[in-house]
Amino acid sequence: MGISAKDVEYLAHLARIQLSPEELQRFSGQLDEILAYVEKLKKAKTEGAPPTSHVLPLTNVFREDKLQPSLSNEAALANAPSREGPYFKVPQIIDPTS
Amino acid sequence: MTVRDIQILYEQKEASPSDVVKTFLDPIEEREPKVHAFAWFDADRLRDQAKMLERMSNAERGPLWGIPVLIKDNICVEGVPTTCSSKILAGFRPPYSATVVERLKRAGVLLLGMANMDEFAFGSSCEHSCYGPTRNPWDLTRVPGGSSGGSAAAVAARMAPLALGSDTGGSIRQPASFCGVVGLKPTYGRVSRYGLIAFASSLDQIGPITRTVEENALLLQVIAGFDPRDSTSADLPVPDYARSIREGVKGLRLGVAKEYLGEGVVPEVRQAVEAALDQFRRLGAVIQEISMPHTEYAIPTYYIVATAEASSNLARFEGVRYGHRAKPGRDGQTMLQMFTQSREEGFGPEAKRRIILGTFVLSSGYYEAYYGHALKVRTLIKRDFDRAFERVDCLVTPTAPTPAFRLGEKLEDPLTMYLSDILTISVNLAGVPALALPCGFTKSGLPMGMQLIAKPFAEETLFRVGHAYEQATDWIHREPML
Amino acid sequence: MEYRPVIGLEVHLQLKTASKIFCGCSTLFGASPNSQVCPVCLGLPGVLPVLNRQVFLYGVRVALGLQCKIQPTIVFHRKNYFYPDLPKGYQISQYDLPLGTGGHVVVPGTAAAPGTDFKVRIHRVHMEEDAGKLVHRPEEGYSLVDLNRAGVPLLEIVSEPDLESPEQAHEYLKTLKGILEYLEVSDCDMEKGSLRCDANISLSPASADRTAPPTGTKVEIKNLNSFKAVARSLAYEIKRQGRALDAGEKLMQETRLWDDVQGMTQGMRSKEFAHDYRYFPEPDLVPFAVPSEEIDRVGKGLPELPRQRAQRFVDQYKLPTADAVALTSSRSTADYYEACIRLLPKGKEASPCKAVANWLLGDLAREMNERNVDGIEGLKFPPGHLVELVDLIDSGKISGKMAKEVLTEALQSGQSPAAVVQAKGLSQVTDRESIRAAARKVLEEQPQAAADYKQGKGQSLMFLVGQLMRKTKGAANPGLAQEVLRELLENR
Repeated sequence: MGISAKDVEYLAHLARIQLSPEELQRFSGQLDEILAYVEKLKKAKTEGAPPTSHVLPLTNVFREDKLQPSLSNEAALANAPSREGPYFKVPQIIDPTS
Repeated sequence: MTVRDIQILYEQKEASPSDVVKTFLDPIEEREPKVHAFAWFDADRLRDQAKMLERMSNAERGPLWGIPVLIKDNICVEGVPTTCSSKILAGFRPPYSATVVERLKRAGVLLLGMANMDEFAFGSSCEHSCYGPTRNPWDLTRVPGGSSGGSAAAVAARMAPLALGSDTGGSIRQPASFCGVVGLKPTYGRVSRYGLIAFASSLDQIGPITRTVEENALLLQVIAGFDPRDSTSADLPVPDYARSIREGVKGLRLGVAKEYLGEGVVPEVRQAVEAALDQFRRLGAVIQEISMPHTEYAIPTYYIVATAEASSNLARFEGVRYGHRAKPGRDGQTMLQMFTQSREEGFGPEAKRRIILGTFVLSSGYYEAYYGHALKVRTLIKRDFDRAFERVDCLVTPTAPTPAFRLGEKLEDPLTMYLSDILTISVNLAGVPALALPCGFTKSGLPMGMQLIAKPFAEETLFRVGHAYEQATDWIHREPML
Repeated sequence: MEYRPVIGLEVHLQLKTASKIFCGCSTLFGASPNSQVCPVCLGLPGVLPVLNRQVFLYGVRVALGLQCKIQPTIVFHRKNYFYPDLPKGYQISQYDLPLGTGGHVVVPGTAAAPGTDFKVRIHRVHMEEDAGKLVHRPEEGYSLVDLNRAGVPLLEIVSEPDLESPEQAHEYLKTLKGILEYLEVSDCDMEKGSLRCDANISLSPASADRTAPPTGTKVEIKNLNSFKAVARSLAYEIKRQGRALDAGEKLMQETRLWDDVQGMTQGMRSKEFAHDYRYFPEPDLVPFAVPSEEIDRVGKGLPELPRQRAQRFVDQYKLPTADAVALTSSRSTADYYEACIRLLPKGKEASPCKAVANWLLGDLAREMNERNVDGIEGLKFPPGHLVELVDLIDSGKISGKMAKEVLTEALQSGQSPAAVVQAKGLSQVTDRESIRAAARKVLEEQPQAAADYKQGKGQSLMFLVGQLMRKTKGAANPGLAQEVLRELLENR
């Protein structure tokens, strides 16, 4: 398993992180090393082992359909880096879909 | 001052919370510049809290009334900067408090401040913080461990009697071990995660970091229990931990797994744990050898599961609703640029590395080979524990393979850093509880730790075993020279 | 070359719960921006979701109503992508373990092929959370985010690609909407966005085996705001793709946006839309399982659905199948119809049953259309009024022609038909003597027509009836008028 700077660039785009060429190089080397280490997992005999995504055998945890107080608009926007009136403000989106 | 010391002062009306605040302000002022355990501290606010507590009637005073507690910087406190020691959350003040914080407030604690940590709990050294590294109170050239390094260092340096940490792969236990204090990773589901800024949701737990096992039980008693806001919290009664803590270890079966004493564990640590086992024999416990055959897979499994979840959990930090947003460039800023630049500027290198790794293991074409496979191996690791606890009540292992390492020693070598978590990680994958407590000092005076592991929801057993050992030894009475 | 369109539809349905899917904020439509938000639906650091039980129950209800099998283990997954209206950077949705699978909907034939029912298989029904809303300010170069809608519960209903024409797609949506209305889980209001639809379409060679998996390149169409837009956009894509294939071009698998004004779809080029959703099980929610008794209980509680109800209308009210299907396709119309029937005088329902149906499907349907009201209740013409109108005709008090006038006036003024008749003095003349007097005058004025009738020209009787109606300003009972005229002519 080799992970190239180009692979890292694609992953960084998926994760929406801009990386410098130097970081791309460094990360691809480090990720390569980590993935080589992870290869040893392939030896594990997992036939018949179901995947564990939850360690507790809990099921059917619900809340009732009851209203709880919302935040005030002011509290909701208090940490916003940019706002306009009651809205969060963001740069323009190309190709609006909604 | 221990919690008990403070409570006696209160009971005998010899001190008020304001007095206690004063007695902690001095050591903080003196030692904090050296240790750098705090991410946020506000003495005025602390004094105000003390005055509020003093106005409470006796009936209103909870079990931890007037006891200062330090909170890890990834546990939300309403109105207080809660930043995960990351630039991307600089200045973020949550409009709500974590469930554990609500419970602490109801118990009457003084919220002492926020503890420094590795950014988003990514790290084992507390060097990956936007506030700079925390140092080990026993040797300022060494790391306190991580990611709850600030919490452990503050308790060790007597700047806080109690602290909360969070543990995803050892983040409470390893710093407890490096700093010579007691840290508990509770059973997954024992303590509500609501308000804990998630690293890896299926592994994270909040837990107490304290000087003694008894104090640890006291703090868990307050924060544990079902929370309707956390679907993964267990709806089970919380036992009265104080009741069973003095029952001793006579007749208990303690297991030793050779996989936990293998290569990488330095001789001094191994000898300390072996000495502890002798101590347990003398106290009447039965020691059994057991095998945990899938231990070697724990680190790769962990780094796949944890980074995958982290890559998703950290997607919300994109500069729309809170946190850091990159300034537009000369040609303005598109939505895409706003996302990618804010995240590039806001996250440190370790966070970026883990997000990229997590994105990779979930990406189309690799999911089955990495994430899907790791979830199955996780089952094998969990089964090792299930089988072990059919035979023994508690496992005894070292907490970390080495004592605290030097600052900068592993910073540029992520894999080696990851390997230092080898003894703590399986516990999170299996969801079982584990208690780390001091079991000796190296010749050069650094603390070493022992880890006790029990079956799910058997924290009582851990406290019982830990307390018996603590009573039979005197490690907790040593103090770092600062 | 001849092509066969292969069409599948994804319908998103907002559920009408009081609170959101994972938190206690209100789901009410139209509140001021960012006023129905809390730490959970804002995606603040540290928060956790807890599933609203009602969302789950509604989901089970819909899945059963669409004949799906409820899955033994139901799991939520995270769908990871970045968009400013998606607070957590992932949507909590479902992936390989959805709520229900393997259902179907029977759609009554289209206008082009009436009476030919067809079956559309339902691939899956799953639960998920809605995203927020963006307000674009293109001139100013920025957008605004309102997160009131973030976390509103949605059901996604995915059909198999069983549809072969825009008309079929349209009819399927109508039928599906009808069923969903019956299940009372949603407003089903496309204008408010509580019912939304995306379409998938590819073209296969007309000669290709229908049972084999389709081979064409799938295009997804978004931004469809009405059933009409769905049909139009599909017709457009069929043409566009057909032309491209004929010209030997290679089609791209892509998402295209429908522009309703220009009547065309457009591809989205931006890199922001290159997705790899990296689904994985949501660690913050536990798996769900419905005990079979619970499934039975919800199944037994399901209301009568349109198909069953249409059959009952045929049996019980002796309606033609087409009328029964038309009446029952919308729950409100069918409920209205049955409310009318209950008000009819006992023992003489047979003919009024048909008459009520005719009014509902004819004049009232047209009025609804013209007035652009959604559903019969929008007309402000309660069932009692329609029964009164039918009774006025049946008892001969007004003619069918007058009845239409009365209806228009009643709708305008909100008065009952009887009150309209009273107020306008529209009552039909049924008094034989007054009609006889008027008829005598007509015969005096039209000697030629009278003579023609005598000579065997039967059609001149109709002319004379017309003259009589004109003289009485339409108030005469036409049957009686004809009878009296014939009598006078015969006895002359």
